[in-house]
Amino acid sequence: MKKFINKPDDLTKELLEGLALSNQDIIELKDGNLVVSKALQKANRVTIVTLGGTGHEPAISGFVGEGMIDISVAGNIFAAPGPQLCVEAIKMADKGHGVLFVVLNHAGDMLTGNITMKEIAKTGIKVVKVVTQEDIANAPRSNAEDRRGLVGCIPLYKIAGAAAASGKSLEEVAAIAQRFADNMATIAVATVGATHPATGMEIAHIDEGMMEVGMGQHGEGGGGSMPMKSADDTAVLMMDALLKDLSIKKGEKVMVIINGSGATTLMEQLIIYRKCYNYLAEKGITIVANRVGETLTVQETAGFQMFLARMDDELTALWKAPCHTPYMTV
Amino acid sequence: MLTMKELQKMLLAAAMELKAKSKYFCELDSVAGDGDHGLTIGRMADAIKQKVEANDAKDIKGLLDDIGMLCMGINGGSAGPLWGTVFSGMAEGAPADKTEVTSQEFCQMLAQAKADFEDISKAKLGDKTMVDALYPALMAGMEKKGDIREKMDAAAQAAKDGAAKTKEYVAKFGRAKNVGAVSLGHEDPGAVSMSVLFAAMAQALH
Repeated sequence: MKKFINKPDDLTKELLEGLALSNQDIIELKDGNLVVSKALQKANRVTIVTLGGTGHEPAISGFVGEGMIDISVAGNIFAAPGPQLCVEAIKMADKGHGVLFVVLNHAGDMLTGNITMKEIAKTGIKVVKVVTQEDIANAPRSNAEDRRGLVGCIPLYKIAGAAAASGKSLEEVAAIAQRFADNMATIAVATVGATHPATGMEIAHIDEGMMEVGMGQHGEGGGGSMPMKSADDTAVLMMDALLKDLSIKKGEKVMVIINGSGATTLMEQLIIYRKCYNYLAEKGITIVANRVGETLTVQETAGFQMFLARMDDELTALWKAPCHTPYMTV
Repeated sequence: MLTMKELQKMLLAAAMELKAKSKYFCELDSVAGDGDHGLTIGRMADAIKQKVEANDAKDIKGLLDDIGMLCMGINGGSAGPLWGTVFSGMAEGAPADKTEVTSQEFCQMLAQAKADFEDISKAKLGDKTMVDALYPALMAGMEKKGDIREKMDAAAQAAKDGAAKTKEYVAKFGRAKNVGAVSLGHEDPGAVSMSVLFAAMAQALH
């Protein structure tokens, strides 16, 4: 493993310090693992709290700031943080209007999320939990509980953050977030597995000449191993699966994100996006929102996640509303 | 009876053994996971050792509760909250203000640990998780007639057998469930580390 790290034990601490130091006008670190938006202090609205393992930079903490996440509880590499920190974050974030607590569907995150909700219930703070589970690869839509939360959380933070910034109530913000969560889908493809920075061990292995469609974001597989295809063929394969899952019809409006996993070049991601755009145009489907580039990575995994969401005017306006975070500014 | 001193001895032995095996747990975890189980267990072992050596708990309930909280806060994915629940559950079932517990009270501690765990986890026997070692251990400990040392021996044996059985299961939980058959033929790291915990604690009473 050739990574520029110091002691493996200090990975999370050092990366969070780097993030905070390079964005001092936007965020600050509290209690080591809480990445807090400086806009929180003056906030008088619903606030957004989330949790997640590190190792996926710029996600999740790179999206803390005005108009997006108020507090991100950062765990160790690929590992969810514990419930005490989440409870502390929610108490810190609550400004009297309640908190939207976004949890990605992974074993550790969900355990922590559930224990956190149990503890918070004792405090009387109004919290609504929204779970993101949009990976279509490992389970059908009818079995959403089994679906992993991938990059979809990032646009969800943007949309929920904008709804909160506009002064909506917790019920309204949660309803909007849930609507977006229920109408999004992601599928990933990987060609080269990454190494875990703390152990140096390979987290996934994909054979030469092959690609794995449905790869999770910690190296766990999705079962779709096949010979490498061209950019356009891969794009069509993935987009077809997403369109089918969401039953997107001609005339509809969508959001598309091409999220590089860490080692796939922007060049490739742009080529893929171009195909998605043209393919959808042929089908009479309009892209009203998009993002191309590394958003939620998996160390040096080669590959990308393709994200699709059904959009309406309200969601589009929220996506276009201003925000200021280390890795996304509108 | 189980005294505070004996409990501390058990926990210290467990911490040492778990720490010693952390690399092995990582290797087990790299088959169907991301290879970091041993890191989390190692951190919990450090926390347990530090807490016991501080010798600042006023009763058995307090010691176990503090260890439960420490595990919960370890920030290492699922293992932290899960192990935390085992210790916190035992604390909840323990009598307050006591520096020794009877065999009967010990059974109550095991029972509460199981009940609390069932509250937060949907895993069942055969799903290839730590539950495959934990539940048999807790049940054997409760059912075995005899003193606490005999109960712990029974628990340790049940945990060991339970972990060994996971070799034949296909994972239904955690990341391993995404790779299906790849996990077949390999023991579940969560079950193995749980069996090491029970084995070390039981051994310490001899």
